[in-house]
Amino acid sequence: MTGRLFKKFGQNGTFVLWAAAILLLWEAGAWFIEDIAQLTAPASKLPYIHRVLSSLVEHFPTMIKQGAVTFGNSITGFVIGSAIGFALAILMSLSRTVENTLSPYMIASQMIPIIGLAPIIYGIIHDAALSRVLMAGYVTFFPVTINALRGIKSIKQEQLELMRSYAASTWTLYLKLKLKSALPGLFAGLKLSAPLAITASIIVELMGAPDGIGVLMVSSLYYGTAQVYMFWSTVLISMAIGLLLYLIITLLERWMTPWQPEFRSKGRDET
Amino acid sequence: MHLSQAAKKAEIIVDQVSMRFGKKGHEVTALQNVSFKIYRNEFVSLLGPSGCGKSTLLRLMADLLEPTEGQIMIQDEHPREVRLRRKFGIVFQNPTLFEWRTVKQNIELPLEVLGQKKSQYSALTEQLIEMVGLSSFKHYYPWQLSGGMQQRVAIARALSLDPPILLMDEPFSALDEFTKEKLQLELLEIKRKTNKTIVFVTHSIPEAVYLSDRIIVLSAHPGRVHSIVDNVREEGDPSHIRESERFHEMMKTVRNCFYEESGFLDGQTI
Ligand SMILES: Nc1ncnc2c1ncn2[C@@H]1O[C@H](COP(=O)(O)OP(=O)(O)OP(=O)(O)O)[C@@H](O)[C@H]1O
Ligand SMILES: [Mg+2]
Repeated sequence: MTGRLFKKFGQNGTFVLWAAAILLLWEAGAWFIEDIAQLTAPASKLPYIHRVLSSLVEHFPTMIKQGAVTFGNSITGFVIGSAIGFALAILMSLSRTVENTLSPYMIASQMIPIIGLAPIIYGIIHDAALSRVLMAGYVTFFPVTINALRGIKSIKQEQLELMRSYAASTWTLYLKLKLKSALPGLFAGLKLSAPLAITASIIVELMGAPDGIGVLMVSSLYYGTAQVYMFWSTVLISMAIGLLLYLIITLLERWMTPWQPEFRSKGRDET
Repeated sequence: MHLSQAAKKAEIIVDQVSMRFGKKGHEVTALQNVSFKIYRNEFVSLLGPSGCGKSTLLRLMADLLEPTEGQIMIQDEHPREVRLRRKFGIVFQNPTLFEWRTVKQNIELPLEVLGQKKSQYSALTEQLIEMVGLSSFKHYYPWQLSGGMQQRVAIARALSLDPPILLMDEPFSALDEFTKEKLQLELLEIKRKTNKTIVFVTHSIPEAVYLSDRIIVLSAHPGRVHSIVDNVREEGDPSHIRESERFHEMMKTVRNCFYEESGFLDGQTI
């Protein structure tokens, strides 16, 4: 028990050390650019991290408020997109015909660059929140479908034969076997699409939405060097939002698929 | 076992069954004109080299495949009827446990599928877990068990619906010699207690001789019944069978089917 705690601390300790080293390097780089090489507009290239952080603290309430708007819409879109993606995976697993009919359209849909699609969507519906939700959902569903479907297809023949020998109904087959087998893939898909969903929302904001972290990003860019620390803060906030979503998914995954090899040291059912 | 065959009740009748896989023109004949009967409460082994269609034959009996020609009757019915009424349990070569279920939950799977209530079967599962000697592991996940323990879970799961027929496809072939002998003994014990009809696929002559009442010897390319060896097993203490004179005689008899009699391996390129 103490051994495990120690090991855990060791892992976290390594992480903290690495983070500290990177931050130090960053500061050193900024110091080099600004004070040694004396380049023009040094902060646009690599700003002092402590100034970025102080700007972040200074504008914290605005940042959090706008960040929350982006995060809220991204998550809504992400959840809806995942649900649709998962439903599509199930639909496609039910019949080869459905799979063959749908997959070309799904693949084609992913060929449209989101940077091109965002202004079109926003232009049509002219509602920032809805556009963000739509875009986040749009980039989410595909990785979810592909990965969940792969999970369902990786079920071993014997497992299917076993269920068949119990004369299980299609419903029971999905409940007891197929959906469970789809879960690891589902989470792999969710992890892939989480950062995409946030980026998609931010892109909508860059196209002239009235609020959101992306709006702060663009406006601080307009003011040039004066707001450069603000700009970097918005980038940090976006990162934090992405990480937060990723963390939530990881926790959910641990809780819902404890049998996966990477969670196995804690997988014992103690009931 | 000394009853005349006519007096015994045929549980499974395989009648002129042929099985071909693949598209027309590129067919693989897995089984050709296979016929035999398996009687109630019998332990019958299907013995033959790799690729002779043993698994295919078992899948046909379990209604997991349809024969290209011929038919199979189980208890005077089509295998589908038998499957729909869950009258057989299957054990595969791989344990085929569900990774997300514990030992207990895996054994309960068929009962859950049947839609029974937990309170109805919890005593039964405890009993089965006890029977296969996994009482202290019932809350373990498959990855926490050895291969032999996993296979025991698979056997308990096959028994959970108390089916009159047990279909086993090389259930012990991936195990080490010690575990194998232990499980073989346990299987005979289960057979003695429950008196099920057991169809046991294997490619091991000693295993077939040790376990079976009768051995159906199959030859390959295409799979056919080569010969049937009757009265294999003697009554008595199973733990000493292997040392008996009769066991060695039987081994010789079965082995001769393969090597001497009709040039069994002639058709094969090795
Ligand atoms: N689903 C399938 N599609 C095509 N061919 C198959 C299929 N299943 C089995 N066969 C062929 O049928 C033949 C018999 O296969 P089967 O698996 O029944 O052999 P086996 O006796 O069980 O062999 P082993 O001891 O190696 O398990 C083989 O030649 C195999 O290639
Ligand atoms: Mg086989």
